[in-house]
Amino acid sequence: MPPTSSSPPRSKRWLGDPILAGLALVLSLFGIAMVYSAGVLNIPSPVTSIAWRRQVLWLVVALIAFVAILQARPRWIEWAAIPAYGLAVILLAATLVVGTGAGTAEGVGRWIQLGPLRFQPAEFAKLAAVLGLARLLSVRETPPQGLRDLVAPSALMGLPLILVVLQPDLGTALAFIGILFAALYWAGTPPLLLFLLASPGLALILSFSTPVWSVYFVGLLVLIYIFRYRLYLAESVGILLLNLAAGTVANPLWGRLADYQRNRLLVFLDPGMDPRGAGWNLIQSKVAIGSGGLTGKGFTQGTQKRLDFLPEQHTDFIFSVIGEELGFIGVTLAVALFAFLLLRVIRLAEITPDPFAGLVLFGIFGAWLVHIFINIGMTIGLVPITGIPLPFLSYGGTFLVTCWAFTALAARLARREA
Amino acid sequence: MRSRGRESGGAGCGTGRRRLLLTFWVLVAGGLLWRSVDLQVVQGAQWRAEADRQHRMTGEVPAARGVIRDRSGVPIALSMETYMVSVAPHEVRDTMAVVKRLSDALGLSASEAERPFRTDRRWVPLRGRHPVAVREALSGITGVYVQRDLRREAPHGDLLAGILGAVIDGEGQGGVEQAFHHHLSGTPGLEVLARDSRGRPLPGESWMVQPPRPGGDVVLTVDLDLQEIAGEALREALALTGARGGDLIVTDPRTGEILALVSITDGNPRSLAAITQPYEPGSTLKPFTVATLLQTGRATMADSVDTGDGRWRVHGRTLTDVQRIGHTDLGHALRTSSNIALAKLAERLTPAEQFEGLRDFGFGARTGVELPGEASGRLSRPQRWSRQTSASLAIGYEVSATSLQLAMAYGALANGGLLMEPRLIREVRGADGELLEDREPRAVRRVVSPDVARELSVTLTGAVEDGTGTRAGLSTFSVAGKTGTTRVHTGAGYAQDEHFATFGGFFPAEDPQLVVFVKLDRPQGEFFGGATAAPVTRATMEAVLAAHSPPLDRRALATLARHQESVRSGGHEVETRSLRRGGEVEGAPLPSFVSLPMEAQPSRVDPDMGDGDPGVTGFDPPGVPGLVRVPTLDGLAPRVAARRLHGLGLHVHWDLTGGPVRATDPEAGVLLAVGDTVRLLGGSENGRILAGGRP
Repeated sequence: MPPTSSSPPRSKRWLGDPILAGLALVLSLFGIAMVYSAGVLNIPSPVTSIAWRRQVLWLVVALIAFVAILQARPRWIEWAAIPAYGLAVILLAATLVVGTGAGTAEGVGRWIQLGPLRFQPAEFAKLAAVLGLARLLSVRETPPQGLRDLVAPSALMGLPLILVVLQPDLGTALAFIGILFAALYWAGTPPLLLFLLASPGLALILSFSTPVWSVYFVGLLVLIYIFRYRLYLAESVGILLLNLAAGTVANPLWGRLADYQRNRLLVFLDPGMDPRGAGWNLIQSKVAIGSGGLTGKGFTQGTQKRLDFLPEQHTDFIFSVIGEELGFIGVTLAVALFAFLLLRVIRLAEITPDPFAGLVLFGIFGAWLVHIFINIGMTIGLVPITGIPLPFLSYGGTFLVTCWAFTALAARLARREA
Repeated sequence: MRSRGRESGGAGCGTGRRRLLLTFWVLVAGGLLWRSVDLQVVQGAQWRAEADRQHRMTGEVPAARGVIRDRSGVPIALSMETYMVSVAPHEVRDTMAVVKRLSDALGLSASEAERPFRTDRRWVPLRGRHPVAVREALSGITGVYVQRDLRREAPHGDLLAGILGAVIDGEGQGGVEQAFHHHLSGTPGLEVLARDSRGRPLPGESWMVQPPRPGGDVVLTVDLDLQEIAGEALREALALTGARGGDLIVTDPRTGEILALVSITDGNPRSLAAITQPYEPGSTLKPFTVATLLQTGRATMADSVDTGDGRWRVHGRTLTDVQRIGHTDLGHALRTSSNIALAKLAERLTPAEQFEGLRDFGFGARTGVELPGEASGRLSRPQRWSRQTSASLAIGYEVSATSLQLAMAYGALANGGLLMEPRLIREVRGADGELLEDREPRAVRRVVSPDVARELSVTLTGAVEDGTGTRAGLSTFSVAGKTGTTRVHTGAGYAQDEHFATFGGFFPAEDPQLVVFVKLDRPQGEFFGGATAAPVTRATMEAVLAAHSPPLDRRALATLARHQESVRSGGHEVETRSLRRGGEVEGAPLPSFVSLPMEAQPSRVDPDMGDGDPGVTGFDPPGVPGLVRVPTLDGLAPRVAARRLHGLGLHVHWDLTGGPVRATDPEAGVLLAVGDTVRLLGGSENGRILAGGRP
């Protein structure tokens, strides 16, 4: 579908990219159906039983935003990137001071109340960060060649990331990392640099086992030695010191904490983690999905959901409801829809001639990839439980609007006429 | 894979990067699906089992406790199964429909059925207890909870509280409830319930895996009628004498059956002091010393003994007699309860003989009655005796016994010398009524020969007629018996003004059918046994005769009575044709009965009645002699109603499950012959009687 025509057909004016918009709509309707089902409990709760109606209203808002963004000129969008980023940082900072809690995340201040409206600045920040990063990278003459070229983009992402972590909202913070790496990758950053950028984090994860970490560290030394001519000495030393610190200091420090202190720290980083102790959420999610079997228990018929075993069934664990009630067939359907959605984003990035558009598309790709992989991964026990919603499917107004705004940006920028 | 250098535009990449990303994403999505297959298809069954395990819980379904019945099968303790309804208003979806179903099923007014929905409370129990039908009518309504409730009911109040004990949290505590707990309690059933994550069971979602097995029944030897009479007599005696408490036991000496057993301690009718609280029996023990003397051949009733001036110093202690009888024979000494005579004659026995004699009558050993907490009393072996012990034992000190032990020992004198094992349990039946155990009367041992027993019985009849127990005498039948007055032994010694007044007796003396043993704890004022305990016995015996209780052999009594009449010409003999209506009354119809001379209100104890029985008048119903009208009893407490009927000389059959009397059969106003049976009908209609009905 080459975007050659100078006057786009009507469908493109209103839908942007019909395939992308169609996938987003199908996912949204699927989501509303599952949010409805999530509210069907044996002993109904007043909040979850009407959540689907609110989600319908939010979908209408999201569609209006979608159409509005489609009408914007790409140049405006490009121009607005930096002010939007600034606004997002200000809002995130403000959230730390005046934020309120809501719904299942009652204890944490993630929302800003504006009269009757309440929204999550972190969601807007994702949008602004994608645009800001694309703007920063698109003005470069050459792809990043050294670690020093990654400092500015990392700092650009690091600021909102830290502000979101302080909320605290670890899940959404991970999305910024996804955005950063995807955009850098598309900007042509050599994989070695991306690896070195990620290496302190990797060292932290591997430090749980000293032999594994030692092997890793020796490997890192060898790698840096081989590519010594492509790095400044300061960069090499800095990276090694960071890895050394992550691998040696963090783990013993962690080990010296008492269990309850560790839990406190983990809960501080992610309040959604394990509210009933002993991995309740993970176990319940696996029981729900596993007991769904091949064909599921039928729409609205999931026992684990109905009997209130499944936690946060309409938000972070909506995928577990799908798995329990629609079985592996429903799971395949959802994963396939997401697969096509991301493949379409990649396809659009490929065909767009504009570097800014390509970088925005890959930022969106990175954000969605993190959301989808971590959310589904945690419900089936592949990754630790982290409070992070599933695009289009999870209940949540700001998040739905953000997803549709991403869709609109992707569609609008992809068919940018020269 | 490394990127190729880009020469233009800074960003924007070639197909290499795109392919890598595509591959990466497909791998991620594939990984998610692969993990899902593992979870849902490969391990599916296992997770389904886990899900079931989580929201199924097994619950115990309590079994209905078996029924305890009196000797004629009337339930005296039974389990009532009722249902209570509660509403969780916030869980109800369709309020109007639920209100309608509630008011239909429970018969509530609309406003009462709406009450739960007018409050903010999360849990509103509705009033009332409902029959089992309510459970079916209300099952499966979300937010409406029906709870089964098993309650132990004693239709006759605390009349048998001591014997029955109580059921607390499903455990028998004291009495038959405790002794036969394992038989009565049955086996709880198992049910599987669906529950949510907070453990709340889901209405209507339960499956009975194993139904509960109801407990079996226990049939007591106790006669409800006699128990009622005994309870009333004791209560009135306590009111009259100001005694702190007392025991009253009625047994059948031929079988050892306990027909009535009442203990009241400090106003508490749940007491079982008659078997748990031994005391020093005093003079009531003297007949057994005499029996030992006769049995060992150390003395005869005619042996003379000198009691001097009523004071005798022996081994550093002075014994006194209340009555100075001087030089007399053993029989008279026993009748007048001479301490000196008994102590002197007891010296003829070796310590071993004296000890064994009392031991053979059952003192110092538990009787083996089927009730928890029985005391053995105390009877020291000769090795531990002091020089005073022989004299002390002869007059009933330095030995302690329970009222039941004494009643059984008197039974041995009454039945010709056999010590019977007390029998409280007549039958043990399964839940379906099948007979599991039929307890036969059991003799423990022969204590004395029939001749010795007979001799004592005659002597004790004399004690009632001209000795210390005169107030126990009945004008028509001979009563054999012995009074006792013991000073209460407190921790510091014998209290000055505190006594136990006791009377042990049996009647008719010639062919004893009932043993009555009465003990009053610290009566005020007149404290001698003859003045307090004996009238209670008399009142009890009169009431028993008037009530025409089944345990009495009326034919034998009638024969005896005729004999007595002709001998004494005290009363008058009346023969009337029985007016009982065919088939409605249990037991063999009597061709004739005896109208006994007695007071119209036999259970009242008159402290002035007594010596020569001057107050006793012939029974003369209004109108036709020997006929009475059934009074109106509706709405009265069963025991009050029974007392009225007893007062009229009618036999009472209890057919109630609690609550007031609703009707009588025959109804009020019908003329009956004295001795006929009136059925008291009634009982709560709510609730189902489990294992109810008569065997």
